[in-house]
Amino acid sequence: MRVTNQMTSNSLLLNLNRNAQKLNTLNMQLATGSKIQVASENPIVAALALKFRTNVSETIQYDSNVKQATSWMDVTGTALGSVEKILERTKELCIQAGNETNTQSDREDMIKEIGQLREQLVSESNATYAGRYIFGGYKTDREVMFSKDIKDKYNITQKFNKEDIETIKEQLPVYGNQVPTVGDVDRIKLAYENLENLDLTYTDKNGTTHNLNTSTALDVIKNTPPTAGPGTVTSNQIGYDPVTNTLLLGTNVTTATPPPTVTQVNSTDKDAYLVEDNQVKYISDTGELIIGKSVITSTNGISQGKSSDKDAYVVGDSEIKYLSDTGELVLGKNASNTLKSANDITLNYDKDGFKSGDLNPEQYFDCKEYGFEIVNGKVTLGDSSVNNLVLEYTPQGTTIPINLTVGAGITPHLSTDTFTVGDNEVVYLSDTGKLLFGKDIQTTLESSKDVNVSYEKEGLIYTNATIKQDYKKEPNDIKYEFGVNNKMKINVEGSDVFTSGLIKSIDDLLATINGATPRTEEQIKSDLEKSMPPQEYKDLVADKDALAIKIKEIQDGEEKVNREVVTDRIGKAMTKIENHKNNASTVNADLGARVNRLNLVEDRLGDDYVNYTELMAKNEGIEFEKVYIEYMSQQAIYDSALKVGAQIIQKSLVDFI
Amino acid sequence: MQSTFFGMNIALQGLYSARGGMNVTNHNVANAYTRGYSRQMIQQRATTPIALNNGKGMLGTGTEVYGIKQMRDVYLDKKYWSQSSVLGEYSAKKSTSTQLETIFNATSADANFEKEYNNFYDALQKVSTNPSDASYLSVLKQNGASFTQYFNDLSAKLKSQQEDLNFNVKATVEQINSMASQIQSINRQIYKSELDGSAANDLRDQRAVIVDDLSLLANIKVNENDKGEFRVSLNGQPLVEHFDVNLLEIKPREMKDYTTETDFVNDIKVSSKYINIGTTPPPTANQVTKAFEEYKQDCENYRRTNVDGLYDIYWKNSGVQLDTADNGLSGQLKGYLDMRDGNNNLISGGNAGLDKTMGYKGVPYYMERMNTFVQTFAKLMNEGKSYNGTQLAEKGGFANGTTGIGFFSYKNPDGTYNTGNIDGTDGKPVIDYSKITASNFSISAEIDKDPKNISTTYDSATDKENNNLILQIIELKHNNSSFSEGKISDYMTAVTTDLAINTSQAKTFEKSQGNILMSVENQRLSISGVNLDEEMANMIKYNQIYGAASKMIATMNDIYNTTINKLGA
Repeated sequence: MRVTNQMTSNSLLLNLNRNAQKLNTLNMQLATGSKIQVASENPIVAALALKFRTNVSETIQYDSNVKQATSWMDVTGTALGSVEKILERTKELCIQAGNETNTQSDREDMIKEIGQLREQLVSESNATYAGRYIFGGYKTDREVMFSKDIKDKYNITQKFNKEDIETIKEQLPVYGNQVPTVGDVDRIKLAYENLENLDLTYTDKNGTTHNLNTSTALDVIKNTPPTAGPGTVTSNQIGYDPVTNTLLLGTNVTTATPPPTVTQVNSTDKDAYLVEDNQVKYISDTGELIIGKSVITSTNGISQGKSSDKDAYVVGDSEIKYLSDTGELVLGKNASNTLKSANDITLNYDKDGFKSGDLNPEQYFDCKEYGFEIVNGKVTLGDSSVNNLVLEYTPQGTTIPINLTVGAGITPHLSTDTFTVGDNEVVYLSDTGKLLFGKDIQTTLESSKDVNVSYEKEGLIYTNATIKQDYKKEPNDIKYEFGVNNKMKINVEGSDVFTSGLIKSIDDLLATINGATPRTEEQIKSDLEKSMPPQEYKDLVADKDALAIKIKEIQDGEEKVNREVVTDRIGKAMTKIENHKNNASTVNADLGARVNRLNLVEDRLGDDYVNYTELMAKNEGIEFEKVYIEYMSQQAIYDSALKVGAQIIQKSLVDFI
Repeated sequence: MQSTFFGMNIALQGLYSARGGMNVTNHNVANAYTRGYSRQMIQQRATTPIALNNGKGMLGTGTEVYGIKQMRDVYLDKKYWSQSSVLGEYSAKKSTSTQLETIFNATSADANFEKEYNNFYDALQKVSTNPSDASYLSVLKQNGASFTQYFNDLSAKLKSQQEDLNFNVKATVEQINSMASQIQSINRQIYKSELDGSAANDLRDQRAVIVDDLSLLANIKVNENDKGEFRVSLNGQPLVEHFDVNLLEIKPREMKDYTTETDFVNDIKVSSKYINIGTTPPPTANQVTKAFEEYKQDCENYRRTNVDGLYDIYWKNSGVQLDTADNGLSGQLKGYLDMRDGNNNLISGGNAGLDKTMGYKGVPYYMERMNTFVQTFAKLMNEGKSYNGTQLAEKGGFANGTTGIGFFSYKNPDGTYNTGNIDGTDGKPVIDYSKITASNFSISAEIDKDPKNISTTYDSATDKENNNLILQIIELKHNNSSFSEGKISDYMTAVTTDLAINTSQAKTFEKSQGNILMSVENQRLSISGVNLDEEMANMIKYNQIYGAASKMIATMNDIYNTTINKLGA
């Protein structure tokens, strides 16, 4: 074939260019350390590179999650360890408290220490991690137990089961010159004291749902008018008609069969206040009805009392009594049996204001926060400049709700305006988002039912209604992701450790270590004077020895009863605290197991990181030695191509003529 | 009897032809590296001999140059011209795809989809470990916005790429026109020059160079008949017809936004593609409305993936449109057209006369893939629904959480954000996913305003630490049913791989076609090229002939001298 000069130069240039391209590719590889610069150089490598880089990025993020979780769980573990120690010490103090040789000051020291431990428990329950309450479930912005007094009002639904019904020993009330005795009392200790509007619901073994509340409590009418006859009592009332010497029973009240005997006595009579189980006494001079334990067989409502009442722990067989200062539900024998065999026992109540150390209901129970509260004659809405503001209320005694809107019933103003609020006027301050009430309307509102404020803000409709916020108690598992579809719970919920039962047993312990203060001689004498027929009392006082013996007898009896009650309470509290301590240990052990698993995950992620980076390097990275050698040999080829080319192009026949 | 000076004439002819040979050699040497130059050779022959009248034979009368011929093989030229259009097409595709690759930037560790996507998911993971912290939500918002910005940028770059390609189409058409005119003008010169039968070698070389260049731009066919009439056709249509030229012209594509149905119906050229106007009975009002809707939908589909003012190509004389979708078309023009209009049959706006369904994966294809991605992704994140509407996240996405606000939405032309709301109760505006494109993809107005509008839970707003929604969203990352291609990232990998494979293919085609062309070119050079050694040898040869002929004249001179001077006197 004929070879021409242009052919030679063309192919030389082409080859030089190809060599230069190869050199450039190698050069880029060496400069970037990467096999390919654009995806088209090797689509497969490029696609894999995307995958591996995502894997590496994910692994780094998972590792960061593990570290977050570990810190969180470490703080949790420390708090749980501390709880175990607190409970252990509390248990020790229980044992000491049970010792009969304790002096008054010993007991006071113990009370002080237990009080401190209880405070510490509250503070542990509010342990934080990076400003978040770790035991708060999803509500890490809310305390588990209140660390200060709170004014909010809640409607709380507490659930019970039959294990919550405990039998404790209580001193029975003393009448006349009786020696004090101890009786068994069934009770449920509620989470809070000073509750309102109690409403108990349960389903009995036949599947029927019953509802008892404080408004339908049995009402014993004192001093029923002499002219009273049937029909003068309302459905939940019980009265006495002295004329016919019969009981007046409301339609909801049933009595035992055979019907109880009714006797009229005078308060000064001997044992006037003592009744047989199925006996009713009418104290004619005071108008009181003394009703025997088994007389009333219907359970209609919840009666109320205080622990300081003489007959605080005395209930009818079918009675349920709420003691507001101690937060106890005292159950009569039959009521107790009914509840023990019932299902779904729930108690709904209102609680207005909480003390420091109380459980935060949001963390423990299904509850509703009341949002509408008139403070100093005004309501703060939380938003300024709202639209379609409506105040709706139903005044007491009417059924027709009243609607007030801005311009129609509500006067708009700015807080900087000069104005006075008329007694029956409502003013809306649009710049501060406040509703101001005149004196009269405030009174009306405070006594009204269903007061609602609703308004719109930026297209969202707010109802600052009677109920501000609804909380449901559900498992709040905070989960983090530590791998593809590998999620793990990292938190412990406060309500699983700092249970209402635990706190209440400690409170019980604090209340009972001291026991009841023994009555002085003078008190006993004065009590005797009140409860004994006057002649008998006179005779007793006249006989100094007999009086001394009687007082001694009563004092001894009281002390014995007191000791019995205290021993019982302390023993029960100790068992409970022991159980709670074990529970805390179990929870802590479970947490430890999870931390262990997390450690394994962390190791695994470390391996993954190494593996993925290695795969990534293998996929897209170059072997420097290999590429370097290739580069050097390519360089040599390029150099020689240049040299040879220069020779070929230069030489032709021209040079030799 | 022979003339006295007979020998002198022979020597003179020798001198002339040696000079002629020398000149041609000189011309060859001078053009040794001239592009398109074909080696020339003198055509020389012995002149007609004289018969000796005594029957002793024929006496040679010397030599003559009867022509100068160029060494060229028309067959190789044709081969070159037919192959080079493929090279033109793929080198255009290669350079554009390479630029697209840079836009997607898939392999870089810096700003690309995978980086933005991983950043978004990292932020989600961070939020999952502390949903109550507003600063984490703020980071999530920022990363989300940055993720959407990536698509906005990508779309802007794709659009500018399409505009560049449109300009390239225009430039290519202009080049074709200019070359056609040059060929036409050279045709005239050659024809005139060759009227007397001589060969216009250098003009022919010039013309061949222009045809060489033209053959890169489009697929052409060349034909020269016996009469020397030279014809060039482009994709079967005459471009140069001897002395005539048939030029191309470009017109911006018209998009007609009819305000009323009547306007639409009256523009029969367009409406007839949708409905038969002239039939009896005439189409019902419903049919007209439906046709008009279809037309508008086609326009909208087209606009989603194309910039305004793309050029269509017409034959200037006849006004007939050049069918750019014709698979027979090739060359650089086709390369640019494929890249500018190629939608891989994804979009059916064809009836509107706006867009051809082009099988190639060009800019509109990638644009549409991005549009589909952002629409599907927005719905996936907002509502937890896959590309085909399957509910993947059991309780839904961001919009099903406590705030009811979806994460992603789109920007209006004035730059304001649209709502992420999916619940239209109370007459509230609702997000329209079909309006989302890669260029207007954004976070929702509510989230832009306040990151606290990002839901982290389906349950209660008071459950600050509840991250169940975020966990569900995180799980979606690994859900293989999110897209028809599989996982979210699989979709984008599929797109970038598509591009990579196409680019790689264009590169390979360009290279192999370049090699084929190189070998044809070498064959051409082997015949037409100048070999300096050869020319030097010729030079010496002619030099020697010249010297020898001169010697003959000197000898003759001696003879005459002797004859005239010595014999006469």
